Order: sequence, then structure tokens, then C-alpha cells
Amino acid sequence: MVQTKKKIQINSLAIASIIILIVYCACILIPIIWGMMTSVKNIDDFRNNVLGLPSFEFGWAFDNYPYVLNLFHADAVYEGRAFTVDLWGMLINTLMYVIGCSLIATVTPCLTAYVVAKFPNVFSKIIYGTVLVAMMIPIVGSYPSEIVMLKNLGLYNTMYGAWIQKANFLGMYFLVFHATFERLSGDYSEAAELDGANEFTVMFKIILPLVSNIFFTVFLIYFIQFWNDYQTPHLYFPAYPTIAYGSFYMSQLYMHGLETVPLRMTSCIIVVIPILILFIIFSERLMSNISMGGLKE
Amino acid sequence: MSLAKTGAKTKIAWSKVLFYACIVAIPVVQFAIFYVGVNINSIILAFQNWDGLTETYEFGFGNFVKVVTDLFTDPKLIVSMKNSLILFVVGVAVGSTLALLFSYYIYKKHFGYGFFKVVLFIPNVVSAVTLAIMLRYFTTEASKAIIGIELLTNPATKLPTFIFMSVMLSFGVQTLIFSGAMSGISESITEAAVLDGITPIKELILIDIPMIFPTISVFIVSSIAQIFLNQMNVFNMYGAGAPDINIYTIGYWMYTNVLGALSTEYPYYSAFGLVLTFITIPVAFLAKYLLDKCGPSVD
Repeated sequence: MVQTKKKIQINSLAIASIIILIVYCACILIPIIWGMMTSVKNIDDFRNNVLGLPSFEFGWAFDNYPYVLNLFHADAVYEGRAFTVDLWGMLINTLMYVIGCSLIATVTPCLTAYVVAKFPNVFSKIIYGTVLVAMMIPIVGSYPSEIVMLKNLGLYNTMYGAWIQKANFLGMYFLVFHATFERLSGDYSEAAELDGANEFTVMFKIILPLVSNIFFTVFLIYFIQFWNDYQTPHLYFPAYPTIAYGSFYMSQLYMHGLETVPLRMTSCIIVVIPILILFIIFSERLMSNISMGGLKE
Repeated sequence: MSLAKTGAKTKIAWSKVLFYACIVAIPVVQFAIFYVGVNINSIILAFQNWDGLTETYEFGFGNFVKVVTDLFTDPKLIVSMKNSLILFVVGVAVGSTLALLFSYYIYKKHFGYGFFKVVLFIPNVVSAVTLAIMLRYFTTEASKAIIGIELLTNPATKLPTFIFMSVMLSFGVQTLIFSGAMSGISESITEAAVLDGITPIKELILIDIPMIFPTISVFIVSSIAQIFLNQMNVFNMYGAGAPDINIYTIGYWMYTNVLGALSTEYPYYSAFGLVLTFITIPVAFLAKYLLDKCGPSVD
């Protein structure tokens, strides 16, 4: 009797969860599948057939893709001069922004967390406390001040300005790295130090390879985040439009038929494809467990 | 022996001091400029009032007076404030509850958990602007074809649809981190509880949630910090020209205004940001205090 009751309760929670999960998945996947389907529809086909697959009459309009790729651009202004950046220009801007910022945003908290974990002195405690407090203090609307500061330092509208902005140790990943370094055994580094290795050798040749997995995971997370980020480039370096900004820009354009839903969807899918490939390759790593909060003892 | 202990026991040498300084110098200078400096500058800016006649700045509380007045009289700001608060409450109440339920499902590795994990992560992979544009047209064109209503343009369904979409896209990572934290719970604890006849619901409420409460607490407090930054995907969908003020949030209002602002308008927006920061700080700290004090006990 007890066993039957237990089984029913196990099932009831699991069933409730799975029903909600299925609804959730439907809400996420159906619009994406609909968007993909619409991206290969002829506009006349779409008018009469909003939901279905492309009809036999019009066929699959794969030529939407080269058409949108040819038109893919963003207008930018630099020192009062207006100019247009094409897809390749945006790709270069994107790679510079995404790779540079991801690397800097990963290296900075990683190295800072390493020294804070290894040398638990007063200064380290201050840094650790600063990270915790900064996470709790909600700074609202520092955009104007940041723009003024960047302009005063000559960093506004520059790519290196964007990189420097990301060279901070604040945020969740500092805690992730700190927790990782604290769990690491000190035996290897101790042995290397006894053999005469200096601190840099120990860090670069022994410790960092040991945490390369978590380092790469954080780098990938940032890579995706920056690839998709269009508001930062739009606000702080508008002369360097990225592909994500291009996608946003195209979504606001009303010319060359781009205002039609199928072509809007095509331009969305173009931006998604590279990052989906990356996700398929590294999905396991991206979704691996990142521990940051800890458990109650 | 842990790395920290090894470091602590190692005799401090100048080479170590130099090494420490080399590593922390750049991040600390960056922090001093882009966190401390930016926020101090924000405070200074907030006290500057632009005089259009003399074309000079004067110091005073004028911006703060205007901000407080606007917060209570400007219809856009009143609606934005209301929407930001609704979004926060729904996000924490519904989003975090679902995140906990889903993380328990994934943690227990029930049927199809791998697939659900991937789908939950999708909103973090696909760019927000792309998803928002797809959802924008899906909830107008497709919803009209399916249910005869354009969810995003119908006045009765517009705001709930925005809130639903924002919450739906927001808690994937939260779920993965909660399930990651749950997987760190010692199996001996759950096994002992199961032997004692605990039900799954009780296990979730009495063991798992209390055990990972520090992680949950971090998310709740950090979501307070996001109350006035959340744009509810309005900018992603409409850019700076949202068609209806009833879908505005403070985050959207602030971003679009700063984007098109003249440098002489920056002081007002800095004051605006400061007022909201001073509203949010005590709330965040109070929430942290209450969560620490009144949160569920493992005992």
C-alpha cells in the first residue's frame, strides 16, 4: 500500500513537470520552427499560407538567403560622416569584438581569482568582498557617465575601448574560478616551486592547464553572449556595427522588400546559423555543471 | 593540501609580491576607472544642471527634483515603473518556481531530461533580438491565423504576452545552475530520506531547496538588481520606436533615451539612474538579509 502511494506521488510530480516542460518546449521551438519555415517561403505564398510548409505552387524559396545576404548591411556614423558597413565588414567587427572581449572577460577574472585564492591576504579579501558587494549593488543607468568617461579617455567608438571595458574581474565567473582554484590540490604547484619554478611558470604551465576545461567553458559562454550582444556596440562604438547589430538594423528596415515577414525571418536565421553550429559542437561543455553558490552544510 | 593553504604557508617573498601586483594591477585600475570612476562621475553629472541661456552647468539638486516629479507625474514613467515591478514579481514567482521544478526534473534524470536541458538552453544561444523578432511575428501573423487574435497588438493581451515571453526566455541558465547545485547534494542524504519514505515533493521542498538555498538566494538578489534594467524585449522587437507606452519598462525608457540624448541631457539621466539605484540598494540588502535569516533550514 505504502509502495503504491509512493509510486503515484513520484509519478505525479514527474508528470506535472513533464507536462509543463512540454508546453515550455512548444513555446520555444514552435516559433523557431515557424521562423525557419517562413524564411524559405515566397511572400505571395506566405500571404495565403502563414502556418504551413512552403506550397508546391511556389516551392521552397531558398533564394531568399542570397538575396538577404546581398542586402545585409548597417549604416553607421563616425565623426559626423555617414557610411555603410556590409556583411564582411560586420563579420570582421564581430570577430574582433567577440574574440577580443571573450578572451579578456575570461582571462581577467580567472587570473584575479587565482591570486586571490592562492594568496588569502587582506587585499585578496577586499577583492573577494568587492565582487560580492558589486553583485548586490544594482547600478541603474550608468550609461551616460560611461559614455562621458569613454569620450574623455579617448576610448569611445573604438574597439580597444570595448576590450578595456571588459577587462574587469567582477561578476559570477570570478566566483566560479575562485571556487575551482580553492578546490585544486596545491601539491603540483608546491612540487614545481621546490624544483625552482617561479610563480608565472607555476600559473601558466601547471595551474591553468588544470582548469582549462572551465576556462574554455566560460570563454564559450562569453563568446555566445557577445556574439548576440548588439546593444553594447550600438551604444559605445556605433562606428563598428556587428552582425548582431546588423540583424537588429535589418529588422527595422523598410526597403527592398525586407519588411516582409519571410525576409525578416531569413535575416534572423542567417545570424543564428553560426552560433547554432557552435552550440551543436560544444553543447555538452556549455551545459556542464558550473558550481558557484555552494551548498549548506 | 589545498592551493590556498599552500600559498598561505609559503614564505612571502618579493617575487610573490611582484607576481601578485602584476596580475591584479590592470583589473584593479580598470575597476577604479570603470566602476568607481564611472559611478563617481555619475554622481557628479547628476548634480550638474544645464542652463540653456548661459550655456553653462550649475551645481544643484535640480535634476533630482525633476526626476522625482517626473516619476510621479509623467505617464510614460508611471507605466514603465508599474511594468518593471510586475515583470520582476512574475519573473521571481513564476520563473524561479518553474526553474526549481525543471531543475529537480533534470537532476533526477527523468525521461527526456537531456532534450529538455538543450531546449532550456536555447534562449541563451539564439540571440535575443532574433528570438524576439521571431516571437513578434509569430504572436501577430501566426497567432492571428491560429486563434484569430494578434496577441501582440490586442490591447488586452499585449502586456501579458510580453511578460510571458520575457519570463519564458529568462530562466534557462537559472535551471541549469540549480540542477548543477542539486547534483552536488550528497547521495547519502537523499538515499536516507528515501529509505525513510520521503515523497519526491517533500524531498524537493525539505531537502533540495534548503540545500541549494545559497544559490537560489544569489539569483533572487541579483534579479532585484535587474528590476530597472530589464527591457522586456521591447527594444529587441521595436527598436526605439515602440508603438505603445503601455509596454514600456524603466530599462527600455532609460536605454532609448540615453541612446538619443544630447550630452547636455546626460545629467538628468544620471540623476534618474542614481534615484533608482538608491531605491534598489536597500531593497536588495533587505532581501539578502531576509533570505539569509528566514530562508529554509536544512535541519
